[in-house]
Amino acid sequence: MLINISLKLKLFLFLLGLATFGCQSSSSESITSDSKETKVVKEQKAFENGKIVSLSGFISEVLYDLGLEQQIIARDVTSTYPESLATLPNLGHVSQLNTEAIIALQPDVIIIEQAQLGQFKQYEQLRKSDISIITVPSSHSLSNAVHAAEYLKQYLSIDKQEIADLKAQIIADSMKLESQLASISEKAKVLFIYARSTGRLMVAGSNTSAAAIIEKAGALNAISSFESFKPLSPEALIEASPDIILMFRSGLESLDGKQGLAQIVGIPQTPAYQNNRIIAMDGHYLTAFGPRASKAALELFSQIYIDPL
Amino acid sequence: MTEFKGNRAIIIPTLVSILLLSIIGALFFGAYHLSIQEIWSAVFLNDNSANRFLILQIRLPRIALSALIGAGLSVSGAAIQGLFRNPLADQTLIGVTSGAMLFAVLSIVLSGSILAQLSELFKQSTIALAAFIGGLLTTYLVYFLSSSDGRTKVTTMLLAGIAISAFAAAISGIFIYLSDDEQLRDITFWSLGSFSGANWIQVLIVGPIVLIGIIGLMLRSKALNAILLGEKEAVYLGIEVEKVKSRVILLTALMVGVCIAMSGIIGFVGLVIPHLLRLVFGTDYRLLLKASVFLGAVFMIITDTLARTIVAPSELPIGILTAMIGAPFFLWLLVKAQHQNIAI
Repeated sequence: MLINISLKLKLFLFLLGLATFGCQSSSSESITSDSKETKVVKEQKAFENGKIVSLSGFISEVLYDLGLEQQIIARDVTSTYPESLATLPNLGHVSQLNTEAIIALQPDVIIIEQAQLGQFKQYEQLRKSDISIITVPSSHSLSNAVHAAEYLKQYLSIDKQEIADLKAQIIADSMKLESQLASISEKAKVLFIYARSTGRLMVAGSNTSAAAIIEKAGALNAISSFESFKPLSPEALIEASPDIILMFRSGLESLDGKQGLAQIVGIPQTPAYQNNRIIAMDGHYLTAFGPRASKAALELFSQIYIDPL
Repeated sequence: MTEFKGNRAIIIPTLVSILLLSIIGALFFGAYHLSIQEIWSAVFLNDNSANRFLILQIRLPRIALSALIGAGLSVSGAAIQGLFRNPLADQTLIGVTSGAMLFAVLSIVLSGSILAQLSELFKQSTIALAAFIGGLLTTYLVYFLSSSDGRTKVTTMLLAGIAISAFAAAISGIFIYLSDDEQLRDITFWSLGSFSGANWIQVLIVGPIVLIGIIGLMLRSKALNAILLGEKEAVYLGIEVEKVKSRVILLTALMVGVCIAMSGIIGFVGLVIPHLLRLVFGTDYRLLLKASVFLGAVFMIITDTLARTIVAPSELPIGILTAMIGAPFFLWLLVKAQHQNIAI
């Protein structure tokens, strides 16, 4: 029996090793060959009028802003702005891509955010076909779109003026925001609630895109005790006692508006609800940190401090 | 038990031919349209590297992986049904599915926080490895709890399997509850199964385990036939019942664990394919196991071909289709069998 068990154990360890080896070898290879690929692409400089598949709503918006919309031939499900993108083939979510269908579209380049790589199972396969993949780093800063544009400039032919315009517009917005922020004596406490019907309510902790935009707009994120999103609880609501509740428009609609929101235990007790300070904004606009991020921050600022609806 | 009125000798050759046909058929269909000549010259003449890449590196590994996983899931389902002497049993009963699910959910949710540095590139392999380990651990726990003095009670095992699966599902539930939107999406898609990232490395990992599993189970088909009469009777017939049990469970856990690790959860196949064969050919495990291997592979190849073509340029999770195609067909068979007064 003892021999039996050790045999099983050996078999198990062997399989474990096999699985680890198999998976890791593919992953580590991809890192090294990626950097090699990047170099080659750099030297050749650019996909002049190349066909682009954009797998991120953020990237799509940046490309549109830079006047490259004509080059986009397909998009992922999150690419919803501008609305004209809706006419392009929708490849679905990045974790559920159809490799063949992408190849069938014969793109020259696929563009994706670095943070999405973990869901992009087809990375290896597509890289081995003749399609280049550009992974764009992104962050929660108002100039995120400018950084992305400058990164993309290495590979795509982008009019310098377009980037300069984008930069100028963001700087102008930021300065306007800056000057308005100076007039604020006390920062409002804003709680972001993510809702997808009453069954799924989450609140944004620190280090989230929602917290970032709230801070850019000169307010405090009501929750600082945890990172990322956590399920909403009545006690946490009352403890946070937000002055303002911020939601995605789609999220508020999924609760049937403010009446629906009031049905959630704890909400009616918050100062935000009592003073009717519920702000709803478009989700992509608010948290994508794309070319309109500075506009979104300004709009959020004015909704918080200037003209409460 | 039904009696198949036909030449039993032609069943397996027929299924093998259908399998070959479905492999060839699946090679022709895809979101990328290729003519027969293009496929022929890409495979055998090596004229066009893009087409060749598409067929040999994308379509073929996907077909191979779906065939292996279809075969693995249905043959292990058949064996588990034999072991439990219950046609309604499937692999979920020994805990392998819920265990794999739990560990996959854990790795998806925790990779966002604790394992953030391991991060993105390793995410898929981490999920796969976690699922495999989770499947084996849970199965071992179920087996361990239902064994004493070197004997395993099948009824205890069934109940322990149900209890542990429920417990694992509850813990999964906690982490699903704690997951953010992106993680929830990953979990949902994972639990619906997909072959969308199939490559030769996955085939090389799954292949040997499934083949060992198939051979191992087939060697025990006579024992499973004997167990059908009852465990005591099987012992009188000279079958080492306990040994058979532990082997069948080990092989099943290995096979199902590696299948789930690569493709996520694909329900229904393990239950329905063997059951369907039993309806038509009767319960003789010597035939049933072999037939399950081939029909399972055929079913999965056809379903996956649909999954990657019908909503192109995106694709459907395979688990949705296996149930959507399998369930009505299965019901039709059930009704038909009832009309003919055939006991199942």
